[in-house]
Amino acid sequence: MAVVGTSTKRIDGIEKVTGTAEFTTDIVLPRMIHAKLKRSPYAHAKILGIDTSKAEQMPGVRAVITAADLPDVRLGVLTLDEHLLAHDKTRLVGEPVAAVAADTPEIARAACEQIEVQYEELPPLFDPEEAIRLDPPVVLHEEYEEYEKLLEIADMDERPPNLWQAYRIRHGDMDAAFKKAEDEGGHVIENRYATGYVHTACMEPHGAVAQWSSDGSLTLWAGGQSPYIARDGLAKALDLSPSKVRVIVPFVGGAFGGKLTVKEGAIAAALARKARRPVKIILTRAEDLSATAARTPFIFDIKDAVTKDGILIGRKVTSILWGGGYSGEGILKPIFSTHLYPGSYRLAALWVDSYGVYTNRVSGGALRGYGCAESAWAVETQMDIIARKCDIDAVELRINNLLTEGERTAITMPAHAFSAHECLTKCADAIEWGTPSESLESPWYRGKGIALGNKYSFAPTASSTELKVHEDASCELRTSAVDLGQGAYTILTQIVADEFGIEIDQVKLVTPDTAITPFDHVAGSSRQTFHTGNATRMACDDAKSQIRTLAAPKLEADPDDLDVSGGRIFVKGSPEQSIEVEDLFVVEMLAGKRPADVEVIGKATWEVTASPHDPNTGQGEEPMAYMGHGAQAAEVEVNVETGQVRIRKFVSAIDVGKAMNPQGVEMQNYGGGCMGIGIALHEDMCFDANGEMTNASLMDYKIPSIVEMPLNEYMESIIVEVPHQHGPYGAKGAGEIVVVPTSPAIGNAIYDAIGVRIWDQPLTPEKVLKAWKEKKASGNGSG
Amino acid sequence: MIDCHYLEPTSVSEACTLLAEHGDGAKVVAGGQSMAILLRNGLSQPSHLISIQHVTGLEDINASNEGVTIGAKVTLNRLSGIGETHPTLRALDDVVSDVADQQIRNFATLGGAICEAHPASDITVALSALHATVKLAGANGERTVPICDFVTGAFATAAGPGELLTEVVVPSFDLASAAAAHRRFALRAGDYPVVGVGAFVSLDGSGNCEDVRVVIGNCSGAPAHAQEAEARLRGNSIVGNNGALAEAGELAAAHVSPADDPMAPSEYKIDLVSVLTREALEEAIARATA
Ligand SMILES: Cc1cc2nc3c(=O)[nH]c(=O)nc-3n(C[C@H](O)[C@H](O)[C@H](O)COP(=O)(O)OP(=O)(O)OC[C@H]3O[C@@H](n4cnc5c(N)ncnc54)[C@H](O)[C@@H]3O)c2cc1C
Repeated sequence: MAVVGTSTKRIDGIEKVTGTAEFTTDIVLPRMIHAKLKRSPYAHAKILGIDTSKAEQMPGVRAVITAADLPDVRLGVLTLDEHLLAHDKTRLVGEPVAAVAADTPEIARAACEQIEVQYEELPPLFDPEEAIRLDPPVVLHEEYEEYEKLLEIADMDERPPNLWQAYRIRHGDMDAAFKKAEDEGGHVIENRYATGYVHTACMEPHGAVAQWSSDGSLTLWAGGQSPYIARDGLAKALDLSPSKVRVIVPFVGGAFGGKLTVKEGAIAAALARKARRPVKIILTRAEDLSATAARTPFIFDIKDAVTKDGILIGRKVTSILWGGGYSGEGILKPIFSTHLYPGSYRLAALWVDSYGVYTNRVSGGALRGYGCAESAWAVETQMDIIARKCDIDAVELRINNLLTEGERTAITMPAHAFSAHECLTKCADAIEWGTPSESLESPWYRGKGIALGNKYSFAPTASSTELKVHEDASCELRTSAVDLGQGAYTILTQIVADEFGIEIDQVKLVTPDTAITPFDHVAGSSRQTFHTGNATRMACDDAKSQIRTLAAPKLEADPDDLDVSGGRIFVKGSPEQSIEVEDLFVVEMLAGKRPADVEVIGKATWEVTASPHDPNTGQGEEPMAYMGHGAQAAEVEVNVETGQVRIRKFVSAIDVGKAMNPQGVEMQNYGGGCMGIGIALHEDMCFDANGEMTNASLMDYKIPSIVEMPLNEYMESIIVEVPHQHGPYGAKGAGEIVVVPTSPAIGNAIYDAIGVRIWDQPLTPEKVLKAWKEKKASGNGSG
Repeated sequence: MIDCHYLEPTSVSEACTLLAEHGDGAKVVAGGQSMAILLRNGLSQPSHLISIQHVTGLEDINASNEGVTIGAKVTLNRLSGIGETHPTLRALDDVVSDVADQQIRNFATLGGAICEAHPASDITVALSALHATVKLAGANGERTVPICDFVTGAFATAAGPGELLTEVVVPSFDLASAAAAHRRFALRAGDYPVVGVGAFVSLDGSGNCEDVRVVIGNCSGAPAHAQEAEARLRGNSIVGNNGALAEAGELAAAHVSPADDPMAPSEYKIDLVSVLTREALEEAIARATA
């Protein structure tokens, strides 16, 4: 019976529910001590001197380090601009400047307080539009030109000194599009949108345990998204050969893009080396929220050329990513956020200029949707505005502008498995689009909104897996793919069970450990089902082919005529001619069983090579692995006295190519919907005038609770399956698309309810009320 | 980890003695729901924690002609639905189920809720509208203080050194012509409110306002009476007079000057004062005339 495509139980479910699943914080090693970080209280300051002598003399303190104890290397994802511990300068509040390892976390914390750092305060720079000026008031990285960079940015006459990323799309004649719209009675519609500061705020804060062996090799346990990115980062930071670093990933309590690198793990490792003891570091909730990478804001200026019949003929976008002190994991965001624009709609002209700048705030990182959830906020609000301006239904307007299968997009790459139409119409049906919302009693108003979205999965990328077959016909998959809670381990188990025709209980997973499991790029960009899934199928094929070769002489048949399923090898077409997998193994004196020939270990690498991005035109045949699609709709209730917005009904329709585990997809739809609702309405990192976060607790950083979600029967998950030619079983990922259309769907519903637009996220009651009052004062709407 | 002594007296007098003995360094802990946060954030650094968990006699709810007396250790969950058995407590009942969540309310005590003196406390606002008094026990005996005088500012009370809050008394009033209600607005379920308003009204024979109290939470350090709003209503016709209630709301809003919170600027709080004042008054009047 096929296992892929059924909602099998989650293989990590029982461990997690019963509390036996081991997370980083559960790890205790003999002689282990604890680390705490000394962080900068200033957003921008020169470090004149650090005196650690008092801290070092405290009883129980085992090691204190500063930048002086570390190799002088700059780190980063693609622009290497950051030291592990602040070097001469600190560029954001909370930047680590020193670290202590001590017998208890309390002693370590107290010792941090005894470290005296002499700063010379520098004026901070917070405003991204000031930061991007050619003559900014403050320059964060004076030595930028000397930094190592692994990525080319778009050509510029002169680089603004705080700019670290520039990317362009150039397609079609933009001026002609605006002229045509103006001359032929169409519209030119121009608006500015902004997103807010959002944190991944995972249940499990960042942490790591580091241990050195006597041969100078390092083992690090850390709940991250990629053991290999972590391994290479540690090697670079500590000046080691990567083969000397072993990274083991225990269970992960959520990541959402926030656990791509292991900065605190590298600090723990440096402390462990100095203290000659294993060191554990677990960030506090306040540190996690205020000092680890966040989804930092974007500003979008969009100008559209539209015919009077609502056909988009040109779109021009300028965006700035409000980066922080370092480019970090946000480095690709100004590029990848632009993938959304050509992904859904036919655009005769598309011009994009996308930038990233340094400011003295928290560094920009990844968060579910990596740039596209942000650009969708601008684009899909804009589509609603266009529909109203042209007096065309918002669903119809979108449909009229959609690409078709195989059509070349505005960045050359053809649209494939293009399911936008199906997602949109199924979503519209479920929310009863076209039937106006019921009127409520004052001060409540109801309205509906819809939005479309797409999410690329990046390339180039690769995944390798190994598949060992045991004598009892059970299979052991060795993978560095990480289950962050999204269900990757379950999906991979299903694939193996399916390929071998065995029960899922007969599949064992060897989870990420760089000493054992082969390379996998990252649990990110909605890529594991697609890439690790393919690699797993291929490794299964390889193992089965080895088995067929071993079995062929015993069955007196050609290997190609054999099939492997349910623990048996049989001749195709005559299943009675068969042997058991077990028959391939021989009893060895004193040593149990071994395979008659060699070990049966299947091995495969699945790779997607992308055409390189041209940073000046954005054009490419295949700049990404695949493009996924989805649509969401919301019905909201707005109180015009308090500004409160309640989500009455929410529908999420996403295309996953093939639902490998339908319940898993449903969970993504619900969970992603909830996260998207939080980002749209509630979550906002706030900062004071010194650049310090003022709501760094879960009491004050407003992740919505279940009470803020629609009731069960009003939350609908729709699964669309348009197979992708390269996906395993046709599958695409589901993890990110589910947060892409959420904010604009809700914003558009608020407009439908009360006729006001809020341009900057989150759409808090205070902003809704203010916009409503302004509308009443001016006697009209603002959209 | 918190480094301090943890003492567990079993009677009020023993608790008071320990409090007096250890002076400023001694702090009471009841359900610990606020105390744990204060300790973790380093905002309270006691040398001695005096737990009243085993102190007996602070868990009763008794009604008499004068009013309802509630022991300091009564948990908020026990107060949920209290308006049904003791209708004069309906305004308190309005708020208890909105405080935090079920797990927290299982431990959180009424005494702790008052003594925390959080500027956004709903409990104190509701009790102020109800003209409640608190009873304090100390080494030198007992005293009774109106709740409005007890909470003196943000996280500050009039409890002297060595004093323990033992009970809360909500005075009786004529349910046929008077009632109270509380309305709040929070950004999320389980949050302290952005603004909370408690209202009490009593009506004379012709339906005019005989007495009124409007208490506003989270716009100043301690809950504050909206005196201008009260003056606008006192002696005037208020039943079915929506205009008067809206005016009272606007007057209340005009006389607060709240500080900005990260997620709720002052201006927004002022808007909410107006709406919630009107709503609390409407509800109180509806109850008084039901
Ligand atoms: C997440 C969360 C959300 C909350 N939301 C709200 C809300 O929306 N509205 C609201 O009104 N409240 C809210 N609260 C506050 C809640 O009501 C209090 O935390 C709780 O009632 C305190 O009671 P406790 O018994 O746990 O007190 P403890 O935490 O034990 O003590 C609190 C304080 O009171 C002192 N104290 C306690 N008992 C006595 C006594 N008998 N005599 C003298 N001093 C004493 C302690 O020394 C301490 O300073 C919230 C709390 C939390 C944790």
